[in-house]
Amino acid sequence: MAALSQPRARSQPKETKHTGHRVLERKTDHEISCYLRRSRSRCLAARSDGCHNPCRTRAIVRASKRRKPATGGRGHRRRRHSRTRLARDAAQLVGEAEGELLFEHSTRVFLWAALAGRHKGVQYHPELLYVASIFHDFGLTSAYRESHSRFEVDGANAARDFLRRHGVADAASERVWLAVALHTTNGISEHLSPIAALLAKAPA
Amino acid sequence: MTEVIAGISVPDSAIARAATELVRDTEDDLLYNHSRRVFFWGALTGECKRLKYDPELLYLGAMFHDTGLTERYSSADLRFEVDGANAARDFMRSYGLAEHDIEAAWTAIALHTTPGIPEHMRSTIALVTAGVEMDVLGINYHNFSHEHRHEVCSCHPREESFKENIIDHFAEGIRKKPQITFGNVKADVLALKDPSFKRGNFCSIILGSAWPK
Repeated sequence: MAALSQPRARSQPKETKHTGHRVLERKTDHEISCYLRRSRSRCLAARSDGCHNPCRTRAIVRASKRRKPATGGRGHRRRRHSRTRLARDAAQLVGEAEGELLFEHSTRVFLWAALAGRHKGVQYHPELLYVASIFHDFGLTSAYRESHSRFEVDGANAARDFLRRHGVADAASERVWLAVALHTTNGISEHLSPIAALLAKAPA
Repeated sequence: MTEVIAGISVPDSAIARAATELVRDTEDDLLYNHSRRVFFWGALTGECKRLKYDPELLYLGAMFHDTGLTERYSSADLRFEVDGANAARDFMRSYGLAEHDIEAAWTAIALHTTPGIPEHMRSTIALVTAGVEMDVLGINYHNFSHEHRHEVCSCHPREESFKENIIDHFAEGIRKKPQITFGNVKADVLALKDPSFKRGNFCSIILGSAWPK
């Protein structure tokens, strides 16, 4: 399954050097604070041009515009579902359903979790952490008002469906499902995958 | 000879027999019989719903699910469910079981007190919790026939005052680490049994957090 690139892979397509996650990894705490202050206008601007990924900087947008359209062949799937594409699609889907409070909260959750992961030296898949974070409260949205499942399960199912639609391997989708489903279950998530541990421990 | 109770065969493999022996030696009658019944309720649920499940995995999950309450397997600061899950994992690894199966048993035990989640997971995980919920909470009690209930409880009796006594067992197993009960059902146990217990409050934590707004 080629939809997800491995973290810290030795050879990566040139454009992935400029992914939002890479940029975030270089940010200092002060920069993160500045990012959060700007996030509202950035998010609105991003929505207006059809890009809902709040993690994308101008450099990334430029990089993605330079990217050649995907063609057929073996690399087709990988390019179509590049790291930024998956994150952008996730943000778009969730951003359209959630109000600003939940969407910004979810974005911060990703940032806190990513910072905690970096601080602890935990190796995790940034893209999966992003999808888990952005979907973690999705079950609170109006589409699930009549659902009889726990909101955590509704969000987990939505995240898993989203990842499957994007051709992500089942094992990875299941990890995200469990991370979202258990994000309110104290004392368990830290023993599961790194993304489950980081998501559950991220402060609101 | 394979033991059959209520139409359910008890797994007779070396690892299943060793698990029976280990739990028999570690737990008292109440917890041992409870764990055995959990297996039967779980297996009967699986049969009733026509689920495909691995009886040996279900048996291991059921037998180990409360070992975290015992002194032998209780840690200082982890949830008792995690202690039991870790005990099962170590035991299964010593028998060379596949990691995929070990992970399923671990998760089944770790989540057996988390309502609303296990039922969406693979059958072993769902059925361990279904068995626990039947035996402790009486959930789906009426979905089991009188004959099945009678047969299982004849072999593994629910002793007089079982309801009160199992709450006592829960309290005894976790009283030294009340912090592990935040946000889960065991907070109700300590609230009932420990007058000094102060229940953590989710909203108070949000409202009193370091965030200025």
